[in-house]
Amino acid sequence: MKRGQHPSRGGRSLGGRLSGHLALQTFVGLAAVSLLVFLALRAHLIAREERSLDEMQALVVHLVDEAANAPRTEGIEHALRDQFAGREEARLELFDPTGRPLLASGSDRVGENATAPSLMAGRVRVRDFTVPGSDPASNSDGALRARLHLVTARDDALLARLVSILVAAVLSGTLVTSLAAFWRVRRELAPLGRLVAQIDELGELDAEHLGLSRRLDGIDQPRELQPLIGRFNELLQRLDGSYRQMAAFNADVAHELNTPLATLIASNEIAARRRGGLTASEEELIGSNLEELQRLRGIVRDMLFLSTAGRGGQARRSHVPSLAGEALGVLDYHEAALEQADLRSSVEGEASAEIDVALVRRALSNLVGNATRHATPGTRIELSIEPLVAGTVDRVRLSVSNHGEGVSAEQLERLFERAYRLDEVTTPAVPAADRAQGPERCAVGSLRHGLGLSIVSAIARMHGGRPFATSVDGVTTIGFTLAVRPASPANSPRH
Amino acid sequence: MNVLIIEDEDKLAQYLVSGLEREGFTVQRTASGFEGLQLAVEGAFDAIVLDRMLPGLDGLSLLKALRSSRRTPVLMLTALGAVDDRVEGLRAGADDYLAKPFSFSELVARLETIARRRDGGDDGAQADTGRLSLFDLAMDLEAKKVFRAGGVVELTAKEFRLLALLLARQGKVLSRGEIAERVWDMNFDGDTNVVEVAIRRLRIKIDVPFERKLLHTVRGMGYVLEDRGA
Repeated sequence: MKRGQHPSRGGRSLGGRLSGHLALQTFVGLAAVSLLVFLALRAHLIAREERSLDEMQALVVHLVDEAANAPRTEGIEHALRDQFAGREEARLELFDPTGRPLLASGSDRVGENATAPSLMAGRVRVRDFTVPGSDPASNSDGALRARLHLVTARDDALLARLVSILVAAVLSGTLVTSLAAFWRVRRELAPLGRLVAQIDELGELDAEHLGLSRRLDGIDQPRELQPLIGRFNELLQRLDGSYRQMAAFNADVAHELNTPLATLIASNEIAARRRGGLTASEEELIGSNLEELQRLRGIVRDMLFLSTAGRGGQARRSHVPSLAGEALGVLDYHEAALEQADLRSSVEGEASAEIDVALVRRALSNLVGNATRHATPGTRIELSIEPLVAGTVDRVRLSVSNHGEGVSAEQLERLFERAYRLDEVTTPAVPAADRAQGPERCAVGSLRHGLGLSIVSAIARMHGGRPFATSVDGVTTIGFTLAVRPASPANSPRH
Repeated sequence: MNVLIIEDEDKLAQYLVSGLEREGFTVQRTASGFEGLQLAVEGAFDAIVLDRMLPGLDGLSLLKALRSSRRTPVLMLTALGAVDDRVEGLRAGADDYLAKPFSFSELVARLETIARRRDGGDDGAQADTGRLSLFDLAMDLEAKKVFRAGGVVELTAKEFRLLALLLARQGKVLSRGEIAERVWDMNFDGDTNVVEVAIRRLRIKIDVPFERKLLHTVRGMGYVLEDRGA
């Protein structure tokens, strides 16, 4: 997986979830409060209407009671009309015990539509009651019946206005709080992002275990993450220790192997030089021994080299004015092999750099050798040099392309692994070209042991670069980047 | 040629002594650094083979001490093959540096080279005349022409250099790595077979059409140009 790419599997974003929950909570809270305010006010208004009706009822009872002793009914009617004349929201209807309308205040259309609103539109509260006491005007027994209408339009308008204010408040409150929460969550999660970036950086360096010597910096991280960082750093420490032990062991083994190998090679060579004193089978045996010993020597040498590079070995740089010149030198070295494979070659691009020229030649030679093995006869091998400017470190990208069968994505991923051989997948272990070589091949044995591209990778890292490989439409490009100048101590990896 | 070997690995030292004696060298050997320094200062050696890691006085210190009084050519051997070690050895005054495991023929070639360098000689006795030859194979270094059995053989520039090297060192086995370094200036022993291919192409031009073969493969060691008779 490339740097910065993380699996989306395993849940939504923590920040998104927190912001969403906070927004929802705010909305629910504000809505609940608003509902309470609305209900309380409505209850208050209903109670006030009730009180208003009570007062009017008491007034009607009082006036009727007072009028019962008056000489004329016109007196009652007048008094009642007076009382209700200024009250647009209220209307009184009075009926005699038989149901005949006696009086209607506020409107002359009493009886036509008892429940119709008088002057204002809106909800109407109606209260029917009987007025105790006799009715002198009708001279009949029984009580008068009264009906009070109370139009509540003002209260309704007040409630409607309140509802719109509350809805606006809930929505804008939710919006403002959500934005604030989103910003806050982002701010609080920022250290987490930096932690992920640190881990990414470790992964980038970890290609050859160099990242193991680094530790996560938890200084600006929240307390909750400290144990995680601590455990992670402990794990790195343990891995680092094991890796160093392993690298040292490899170096020791390789080193300890060199002396007996030197003895064996020298003794066999000296024996082989005693020409004439050996039988054919003895010569054959010694020749075969030497082949194997040379192979062993090559493996030990390359393992030692990789081990040194893996422990942070850096390139010894000197100024090289023309990388194209070096590339041509490498192609020159491969001239005969390229011709034999019926391949043409070319160099494109140019750059100057401070590099370890012997190492870069070796890397290019390994790449050209690899391309030669896998190219289709009659095609061209292209060596390209592209200067890159990335940040403050000038880089150069060296690559070798060949036309051939192409390499699958899975193979590309493993290409730079130690001892991974493309040959094993695509062709027999000893390619036909090698088998057809006759006695020259036998002079040194098969020297390829699958470390060629690992060495390219190690040389790239020793120059602050990294290897890469692509394969598109049968064109396979394998190469590496180099920092053209040594990194300053501030930005070079710690070892 | 009088050679002193200062090497503490008994087996390796014994092989070196017997191998060099067979090559016609006069050899003295010691396993101790202190004794080696004493011998080197007092004796008259044409070259010294010095192991870098020795008990007592190590190779580097020995070399520094020796350089204060003698200029005897020193070929340093080491099991530490890193470039840093090489540079350190050369700075301390070594004339050449050979990483273990090395090929014996390369050791012999390098010993001869450093001894000759001191004497002001150059790569081949025949080179002085501007002409190199072996049996019916001849090379005119100035005209850049190669002849075999009287006829001209067309070679590329690198094939010419390769043949010139083999002719100059005729009779000596040249390893793949040595050829790559001297002809192409590639001082690494890569995992490619380009030297083999170059040798084969050269052989097709100078050897295949003729009955008597001159360019021989020595299994496990390298290549040699010599006349082994009919």
